[in-house]
Amino acid sequence: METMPVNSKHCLTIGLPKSGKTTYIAALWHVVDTKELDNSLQIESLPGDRTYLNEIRTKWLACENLDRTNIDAVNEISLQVIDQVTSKEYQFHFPDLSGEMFELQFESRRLDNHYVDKLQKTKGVLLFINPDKLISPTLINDTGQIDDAGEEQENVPSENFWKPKEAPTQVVLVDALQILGMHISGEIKISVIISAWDVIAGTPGDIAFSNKTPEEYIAAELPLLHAFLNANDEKFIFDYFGISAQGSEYGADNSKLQNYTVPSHRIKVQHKRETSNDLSLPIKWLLND
Amino acid sequence: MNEVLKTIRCKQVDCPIATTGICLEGIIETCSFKILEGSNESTPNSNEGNDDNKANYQKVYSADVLKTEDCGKITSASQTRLIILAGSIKAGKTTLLASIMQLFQQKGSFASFLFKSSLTLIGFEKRCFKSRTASMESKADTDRTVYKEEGEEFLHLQVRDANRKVYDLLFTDLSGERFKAISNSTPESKKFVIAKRADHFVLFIDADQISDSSQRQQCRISSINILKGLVDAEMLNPKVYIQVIFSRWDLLLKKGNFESHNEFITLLKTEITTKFKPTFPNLTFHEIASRPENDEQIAFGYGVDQIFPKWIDESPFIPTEQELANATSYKGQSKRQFGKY
Repeated sequence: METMPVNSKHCLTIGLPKSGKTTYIAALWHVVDTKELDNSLQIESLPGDRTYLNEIRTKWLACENLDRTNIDAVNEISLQVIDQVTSKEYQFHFPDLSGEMFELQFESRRLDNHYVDKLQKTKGVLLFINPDKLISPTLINDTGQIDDAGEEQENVPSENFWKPKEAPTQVVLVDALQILGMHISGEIKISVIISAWDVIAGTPGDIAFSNKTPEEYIAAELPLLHAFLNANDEKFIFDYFGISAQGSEYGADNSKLQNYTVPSHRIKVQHKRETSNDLSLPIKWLLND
Repeated sequence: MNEVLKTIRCKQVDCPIATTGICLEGIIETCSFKILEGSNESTPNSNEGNDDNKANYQKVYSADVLKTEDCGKITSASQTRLIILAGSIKAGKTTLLASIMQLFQQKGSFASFLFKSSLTLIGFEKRCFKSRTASMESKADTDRTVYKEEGEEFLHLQVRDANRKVYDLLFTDLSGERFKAISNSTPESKKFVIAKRADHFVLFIDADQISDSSQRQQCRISSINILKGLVDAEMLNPKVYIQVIFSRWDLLLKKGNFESHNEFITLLKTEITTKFKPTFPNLTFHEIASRPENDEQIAFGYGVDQIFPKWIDESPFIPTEQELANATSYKGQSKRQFGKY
């Protein structure tokens, strides 16, 4: 008879399009499956169907950009993992949700019932933010635009009305978390993951990461989200991680990334001021009580 | 975010009560469509509807402006401050609201208060839009608030102070035309029943017009008449906190000849104080520039940080020590239905 893992936890990934969710999952699968890193979570029992995980891992190893996750096709992922440090076993369930779904949710003000089921079950959230894709609430008056510029006037659309897609990233994410808060009871843990952290931390391959911690970055760039989490700390328990799952931005020549003897070593993770390659760190933090 | 909300569902597909606690009919207590958790009645979300689309989805809170009937849930659940923003057309009422949200989006905390939530995030976004580069406008602007003869619309903000105390703020967003009607007609003033529940009544006086000799007298009269209309109709609680705000202060400063403008403003302050302070002792004056125009000397939200804490710290409904001794009377007050004024 099969022994059930000690802990079974359902989690969610939340993030707008191109926020790095699928790339993270691809690299995570490689890390836990190959056991290349001593202290990372490691797979205890292979998932029955590994097709999707292996497909996205293949692209990650080849340094190819991953396709956008289809809004209608939710890839349910369930990993039986062990924490090498604590020897605790977990059954970790999470769906690879499309970023468009969260955009649509903000715009249409409705939730897919399947997503509602996941919201109600979830015990933790991986919240993805791509610093390269932020929409900031920049004021016209802060740009030094000239008021009477005739040329600019001509560019004004005839019907200039607010569109949900133009809402600042932090507003859309706060809304998603407010909706989450309305559907859960008790506390929930949130790993805030700043993907493409190499963009913030410095040039690719830099040993010395940025002086800015992931939390300091969020406080500076998404202050509404930072305040929202702090002000709701009776409901949300949160921590911040800077992660470069790719290692650096892909270009015409990815040989430097492809030449890593241990592919997991191209991953960069920053938690507070400590750096490592352990991509499973945000999940370990979610899983540990 | 309210645990109470989870216990009620609704037979109507479009009713958001299960997620927001807001009853579509606005009659949560007596609504015949209401289903209490644990009952055998079904909701359209239980996949029984003929329309697959409706069966597969459920609505969430609109995040746009709240109607009066939506606000009862907030006011009955927390210490809510109702702030009425009154003034003529283009006096800066909506711009102030947009600027408050912009300040929270730029800093997270404002005037020592942390942003905690808002049930009207989209309502705020619509008001912020034309001041942002995303609008592609060449000059910052605010859309005119649409005139509605009756009914009020509100924006909601929840903040937390340094002692972890949480406050809900409800701001009216009403057109200048509505206040013109109020100043012209006692029946119109009488319709503005929400004024009786106000914690703060904020009267905007456009400093740009005050500093223009061709407009200043009309501006003076029309602004005072708004207050006068409501006072004569007995729609304001004598304990209400009245802030008279000289808005768009940056435009006054730009014009020069400050001494002359200030002299007029001093006379106007004296007139307002003489007329209203005997009845409304909590009357104060302020200057703000919510969104100064490319002004390097005046910061964005100038003066707003002085008023914002007053809206939270001061309320006619905060019990005095004597009232606290008689807790029953305060308890009764705090549970009053929002729309019954």
